[in-house]
Amino acid sequence: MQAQLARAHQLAYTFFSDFLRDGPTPAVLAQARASSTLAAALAEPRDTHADRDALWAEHEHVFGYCVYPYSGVYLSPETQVGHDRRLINLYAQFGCGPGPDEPEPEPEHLANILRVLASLCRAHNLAGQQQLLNYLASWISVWTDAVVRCQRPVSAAFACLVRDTIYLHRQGLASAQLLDLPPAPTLDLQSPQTTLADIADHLLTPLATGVFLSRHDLASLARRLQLPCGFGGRALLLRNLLRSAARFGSLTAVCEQLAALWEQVLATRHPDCPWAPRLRTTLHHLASIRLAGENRATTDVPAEAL
Amino acid sequence: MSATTKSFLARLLAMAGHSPPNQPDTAGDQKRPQGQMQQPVYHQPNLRPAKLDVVHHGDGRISQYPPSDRWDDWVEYDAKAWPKKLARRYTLVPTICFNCESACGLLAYVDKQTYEIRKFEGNPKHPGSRGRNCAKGPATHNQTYDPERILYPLKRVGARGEGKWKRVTWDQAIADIASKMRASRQARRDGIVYHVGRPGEDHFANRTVQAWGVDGHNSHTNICSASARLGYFAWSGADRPSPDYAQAKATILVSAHLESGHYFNPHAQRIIESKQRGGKIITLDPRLSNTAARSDVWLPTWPGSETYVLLAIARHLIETGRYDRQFVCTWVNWQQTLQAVSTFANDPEVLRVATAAAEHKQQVGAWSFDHFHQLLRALYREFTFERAAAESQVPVERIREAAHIVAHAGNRLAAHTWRSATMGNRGGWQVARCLFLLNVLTGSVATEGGTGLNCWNKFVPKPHSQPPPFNAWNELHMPVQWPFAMYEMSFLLPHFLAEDRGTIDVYFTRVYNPMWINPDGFMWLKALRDEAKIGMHVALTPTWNESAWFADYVLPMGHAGERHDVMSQETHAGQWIGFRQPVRRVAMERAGIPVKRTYEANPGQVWEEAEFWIDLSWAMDPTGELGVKTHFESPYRPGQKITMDEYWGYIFDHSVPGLPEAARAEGLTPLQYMRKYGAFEVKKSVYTPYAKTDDSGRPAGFATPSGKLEFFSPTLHNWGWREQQYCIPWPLQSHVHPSNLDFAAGEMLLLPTFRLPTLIHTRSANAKWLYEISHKNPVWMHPKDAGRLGVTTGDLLYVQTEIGSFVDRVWVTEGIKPGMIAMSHHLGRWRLKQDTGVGAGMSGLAALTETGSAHQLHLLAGGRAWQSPDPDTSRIWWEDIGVHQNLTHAVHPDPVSGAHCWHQKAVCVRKARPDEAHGDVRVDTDKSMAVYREWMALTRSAVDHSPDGTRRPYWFKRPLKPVREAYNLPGRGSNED
Repeated sequence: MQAQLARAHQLAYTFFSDFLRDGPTPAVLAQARASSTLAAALAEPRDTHADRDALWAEHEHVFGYCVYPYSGVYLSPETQVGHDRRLINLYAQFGCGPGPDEPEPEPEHLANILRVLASLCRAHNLAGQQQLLNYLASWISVWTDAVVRCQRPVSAAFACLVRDTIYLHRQGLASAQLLDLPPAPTLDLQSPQTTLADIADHLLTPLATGVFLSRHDLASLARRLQLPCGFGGRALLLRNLLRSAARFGSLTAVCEQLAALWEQVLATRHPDCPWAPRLRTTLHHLASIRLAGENRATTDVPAEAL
Repeated sequence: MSATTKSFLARLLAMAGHSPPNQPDTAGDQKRPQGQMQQPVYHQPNLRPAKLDVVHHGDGRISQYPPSDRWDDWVEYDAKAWPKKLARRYTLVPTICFNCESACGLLAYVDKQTYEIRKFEGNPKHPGSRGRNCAKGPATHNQTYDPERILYPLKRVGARGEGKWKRVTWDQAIADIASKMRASRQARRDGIVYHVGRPGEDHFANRTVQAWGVDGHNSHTNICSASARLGYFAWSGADRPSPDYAQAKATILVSAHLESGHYFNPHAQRIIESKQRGGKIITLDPRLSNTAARSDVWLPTWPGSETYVLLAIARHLIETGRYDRQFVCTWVNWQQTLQAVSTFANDPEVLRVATAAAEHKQQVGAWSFDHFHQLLRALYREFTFERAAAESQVPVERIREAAHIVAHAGNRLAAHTWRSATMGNRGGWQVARCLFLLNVLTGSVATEGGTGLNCWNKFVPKPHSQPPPFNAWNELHMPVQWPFAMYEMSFLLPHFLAEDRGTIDVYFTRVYNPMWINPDGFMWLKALRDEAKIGMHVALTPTWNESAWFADYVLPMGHAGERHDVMSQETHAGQWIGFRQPVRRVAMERAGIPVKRTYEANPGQVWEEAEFWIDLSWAMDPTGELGVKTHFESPYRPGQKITMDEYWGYIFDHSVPGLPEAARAEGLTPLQYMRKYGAFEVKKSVYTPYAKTDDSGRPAGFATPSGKLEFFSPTLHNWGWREQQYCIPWPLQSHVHPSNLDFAAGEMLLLPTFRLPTLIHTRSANAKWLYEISHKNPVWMHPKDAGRLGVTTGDLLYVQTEIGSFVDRVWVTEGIKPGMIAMSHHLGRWRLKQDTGVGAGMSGLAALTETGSAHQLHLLAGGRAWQSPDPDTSRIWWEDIGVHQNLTHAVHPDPVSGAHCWHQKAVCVRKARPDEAHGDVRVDTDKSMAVYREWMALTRSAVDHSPDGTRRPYWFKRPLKPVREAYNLPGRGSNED
């Protein structure tokens, strides 16, 4: 039975990796039918002229444009790929990935991590599986939540399936140890040196806040409040959004909407989950920003000062 | 969660031929259950669904469009009304975009109830753009409904530049302007000037100026493409490349062509098609542009060093025998080269080959190609990869890799340069010469996947009559110092006027903003204000611009959906013609509403140029005594003014091969066909037309004096540019070569030759969508330089040029080479009054001050929101609208091509002081004139060097050629063959 289970996990992780890396190719889609949720999402009524195009577009939009499937984005204070040495060390330890001095292209890409995990399953390397599962489980929920918020059915079903498989597999191996997160970057809202850009950058750092704010999140928030946020990277969008919110008297509304998002995520987390304190701290920050904005509005301070 | 996941694992195993496993049933560490997916809700449309036209693009994607047989009556839901399902009934009218020179097809959705244009989308029937557009196409809607646009003819009432205007009728404006033109034309043949930016149309305006009988055409070419034109023209007699990207195995781009080059939308589509089939892209650009990022090999060359890299690739082809000997032997003037080599070379090895070749010729009576092969080896033996790497500051491995890619491409090498390095550097025209040398060596001239020439792919039709050439020579446009200028020395016009070289009676600026776009703008300010130098200034423009502020008349002209024009471009190795239309007029006429003049259908009294030129020319010559009026009479109704239907109908009936037949097949006239589809494909493919033979068996060849591709240019040689570095493809040292910059003293190179893909010079300023995407032009700076100067992104930077200074914010990025700064060149618009001029969200409110030769532009405020009928104007959220750097650029006329060499020497770059504000510009025009004179001293005048007593080689192109006698220098020889 263990061998069958290991084989099942190997197949599952290989499929996940293929889906992420290659997109919805016919071969990948054939395997996707094995999941009832994915199959249901794929069977959604669509514009029949453009089914394949729509799937490809969705894949590109979600995983290429909105929610980046790189562990470094979620686990490094810089929110950048290539900053998580722990993974490279793990690879070196397993002997199945690139060595510390020979990083393969994109070792932090989820597709590559899952491929390594598949090979660990094939090799029945339980210790390796455990460590890599712990690593993945430490951030996969942040990624999955962000994907689900993009409201694209196939991607959402896929991300949930990846997360659930990792959780189930990890629990099956009795890997109950606490998840290990790097320290959270801090934000000093009282400091006069803290700028709008600092606040925006902090809110965009999942390691600090427990949430990955994607371009989809920011754009839909801006649309809901009828605020311009411009175009470009996440940092630019959020800075523009905050600046325009201040200018058009909508800072309170923006803070409320962001807080609602954080509350929603917090409600889904176990109280002992290491992300929970970071989510709560961010809620405090948002409340402070909202208050500061309201005070400044009454004293007619220019929006640029915020 | 666990049940569905277990089931998934079991099914995976089953699919792989295994039996399902048992899974321990433990809960996850997350409270969250498998949530309900929020699925989109789909409604059944109430409308009858239509089968859409599907276009399969070369890169594998598909697009869908309303089927053309239902364009007359198309119904779809209004996206803006969502979630209400509001059906709107449209008539779809094709037209041509007017925002850049690509001439992409647009489809206007005109509401059948209100005749409002609801949106512009792509025209799938257009052979160049094939239904796709860049952001500028749909943004035509912004321009059409811009609340700040000029709706009525305006006449100045205060002093010039005071900003006081009154509304006049078209008749009043035409009568006044025409009387001034008539008086000028009766007195002289060089007093009326038509100064055009990007024409955006083929032939109508040029024909009009020719009909006036004056040497009055003045283009912007010398700040745009003159250098590349000279490079290609000296080789081939055609002044532009036309690569067949889609079929190429390798593409070399000396530019950011994928995102912002000439015809970039149609070209980019085809370059990516080639890439998806395995073709390689090589890009030379000191910036990490989007194009560089998409390339297989990026060569971040120091500006001006591109020729070294290209010649190193050429040497590799020669040394490895990977060049097409047969092609070179057949189509290159190698015999002429062997004959002349001893007159331009001084390298002993080269002269040894020359002597051997001459002796062989004497012995056997014919030249030997083997000697030419030896000559190529001897000439280019110094251009090793290592030398190219040293000059360009690019790793040698990358240059070697590029050479291997070119060598493997064979005769499928697409290569393109247009502005960029050619227009940045002194001697930049040699970049085009060296680049085309690669096409020549690989035999990839107009082959499938190779590089053709524009004259074979751009289709220009003939109207019902062509006015004769004029007998005049305008010294303000084509002065004797630049006999090879490509073309008019337009950016020096204010300097020439300052030197009292002449005056202008009537000066038309046509969709052109010379004071803003040219270098040394304060010189333009002085010229435009001087009524003794420019008697009358008429600005034809759709929107306010800085130069129009100093006009006597501001006449509102139409955008893409408000005018008639024909247009064609060399987008690929085929030929097509497009038809721009006033879409509301066409929609109204389809509904049976008569429209006599296009301004009756356009917003306010916005007119179209074609009808305006006809009326103006008619008024200039009411009796016909000047010979002008006759060219604007109907070919069908003698003595009557020609109508739009007659003018364009005649062209489509008589001069577009295949169109009458295609129209007939659909039961339409050619004009109806073009009104319906907006474009027609004349030829599907054009390959190696030079090899086609006539009845006598003679190949067509090339439009050079030798009929061959001229590796050695006898023309340059005979007109005083005798040295090797001028008459064969060879590097010329740029004015911004590292040896000309004192880095130790803090000097840097300022690179201003790039633009953002969503904007187009000053034309796109009143498009709100485009400005929301990009509205500022910070100074790019490498982290090393930023560290040295102690600046970080967002800091204010002071940049001093040879003639002035500006202050802008810095953007620290590794996407630029150290030692240089870069700045996009089309932002920093300004207006002088709070509520008039360029839109408040797209320009800064500025004050101009002047003390003697010292000029200053001071920004009082940045962009801002304002109230207008368009609620979007109250949502402007940006303030930084960029900095007008061109004011501080010294003029650098290339001594050969006449092109303005855009790169500037930044003599001082430092962190700005507290009293230096963002957007501040200071210039000393005395320094401007000094730099101008320094560069003019480098020229070789026709007076001193003309071999035949003429001003310019007669075979060289001019937009409008005068009669042959006009070429004669005063009191000198004759231009006879």
